[in-house]
Amino acid sequence: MDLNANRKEQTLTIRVPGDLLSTNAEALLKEAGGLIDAADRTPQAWKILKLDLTAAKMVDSVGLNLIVTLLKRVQQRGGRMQIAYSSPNIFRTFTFTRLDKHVELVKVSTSQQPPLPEAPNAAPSPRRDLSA
Amino acid sequence: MMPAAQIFVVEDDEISRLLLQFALEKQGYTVTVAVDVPDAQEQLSLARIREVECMVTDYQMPGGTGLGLMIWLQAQDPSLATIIITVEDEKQIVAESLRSGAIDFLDKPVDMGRLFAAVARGVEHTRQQRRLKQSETAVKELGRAQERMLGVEAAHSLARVDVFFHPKHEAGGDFFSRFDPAPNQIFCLLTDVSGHDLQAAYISAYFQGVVRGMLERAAPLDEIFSTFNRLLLEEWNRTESFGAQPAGIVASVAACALLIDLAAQTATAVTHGAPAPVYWLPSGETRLVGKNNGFPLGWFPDIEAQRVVQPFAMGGSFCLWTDGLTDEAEKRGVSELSLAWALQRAKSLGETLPEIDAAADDILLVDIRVSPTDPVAESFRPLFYAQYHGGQSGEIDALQAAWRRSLMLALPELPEAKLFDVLLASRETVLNALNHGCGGDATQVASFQAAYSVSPRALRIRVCDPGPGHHFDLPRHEQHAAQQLAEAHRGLILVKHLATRVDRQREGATIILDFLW
Repeated sequence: MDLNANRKEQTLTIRVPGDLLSTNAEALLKEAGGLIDAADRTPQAWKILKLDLTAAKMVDSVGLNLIVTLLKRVQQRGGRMQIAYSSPNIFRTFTFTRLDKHVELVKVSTSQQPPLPEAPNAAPSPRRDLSA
Repeated sequence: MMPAAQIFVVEDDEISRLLLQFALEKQGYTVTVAVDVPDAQEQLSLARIREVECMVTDYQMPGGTGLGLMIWLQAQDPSLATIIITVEDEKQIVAESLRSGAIDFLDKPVDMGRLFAAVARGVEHTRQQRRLKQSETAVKELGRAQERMLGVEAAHSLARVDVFFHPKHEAGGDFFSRFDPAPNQIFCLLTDVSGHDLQAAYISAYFQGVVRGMLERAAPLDEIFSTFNRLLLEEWNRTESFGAQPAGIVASVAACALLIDLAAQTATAVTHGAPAPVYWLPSGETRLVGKNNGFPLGWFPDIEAQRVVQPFAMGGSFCLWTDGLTDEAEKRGVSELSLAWALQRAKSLGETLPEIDAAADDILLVDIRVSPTDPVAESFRPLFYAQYHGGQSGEIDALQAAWRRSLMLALPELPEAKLFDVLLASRETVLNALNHGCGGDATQVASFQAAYSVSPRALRIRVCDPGPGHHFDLPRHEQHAAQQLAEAHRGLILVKHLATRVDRQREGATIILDFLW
């Protein structure tokens, strides 16, 4: 699964093109870490990490642990975290585990979602448009 | 000696008619004549048509054409061959006649040599078509007899037996019978003979008879199967048919026998190349009785049966099926038990499961509920039973996809949100069993079961692992995970919220989740 990221003003958005699960969480964490490092090397500072999960229908406990790891990293640098979601099941997953107390959940209706670039397996190199 | 074939000649010209009649009678045929189409239709009552074996008719006649007569006749009896006589070079008529089913045509003036050859072919054609029709009728009757027998065998007071049979062909080798070798004993036999023809049906019925006869003489099951294996190898498979050249394996029998002893409360299952039976308790707890391997009878001289003695509780049930169900479940990517339930349910609603007619093989499925009148507190039916080893956690996405397909097939009314809860909770519980209960060890095995209750409407997931479990203070961990942002324990927290009820047994080595909706 390839992540893609973009930055707008003080928000760094990382878009996850599908579910966040035990089978891909480790690779995603590594990739997300790389995107954050790349953003930190640019002169503009960012304060909000927005994890775009609008394409996800399921996040399991290992996926939640990944989010906690990212959240801690964001908090250490004085930032905060937003989670964009479409599926009500994603919202429930965050409230069950009380993570909604630590991250800002942003509901995005399906019609508001920008189209995903390509199917995960067919995706070219992830876009790392961090200049905006 | 075959009686003389009866030929029906329709010709309005008197001279031509007499010539045809005379020539054909000289050839030994019995000839009946009609002077035009209305006369022919009047003479050819249904009973009369069956006596006629070939019709020779002029094309152009007053009151209708020979082609019209043939079309009318085919509606009465499509097996009867027709030869049409036309004026030379009426190619359009010839083409139309052949398209409509005439087996030949003759130009006027009629060449007697060609007439005799055409009539001989016509008679043979009619006889062949009628033989085929007769055997088709016989096969259909056999198929109906099989289905009737399945229904008759189902009635029983000590056990309720529900049979689902989806034949691929008119008659085949799948068969089930039940009888009582002794008081308080129920014997069930499911057989699946290779092939889908009369031979398969015959061998299956023969085998059932051999088993019944030997069992009534108190022969042990192993001896019965050995005897039939020898019969198949030494007599049946030695030659393909009477006087034919020896062929390879021409018939094999996959069989599953279940001897239920109500007094001892045990069931002995013996399988030879057939799927192992499934046993379940009213609580939905499910186990496989034996293993899904072994060879059918008729392959090898030395046979090794899968023989398992299963203690059972009153209200317990068994499910047996032929490999047609297994093949169809594999094709759909679902569990056999979910397909079994979907078939049984569709049958009870008087419906047919979509695409089931495309199944490649006969499907025979039998549910046996022991002591059906005993009251039970719960009544779950299994939809999924699988064993996963500790090295399979990386395959969890594929496992989850199979659960999803199976549940959607078996329970199409299950709300999407509830399906999500079941799938995520199952995923977390199975991952916990594989990673912790089995320690990630591929030699350790955990089981996953899903069962459904109609009333109250509930789905029950049961996950058992071989580990010792461990004491777990969930409320404390839940608080810690939330407040301290711990990177662990969220699986069990999720499960607690997703399921309607969570029952931890053996310190969590067995977890039972109920989902109500």
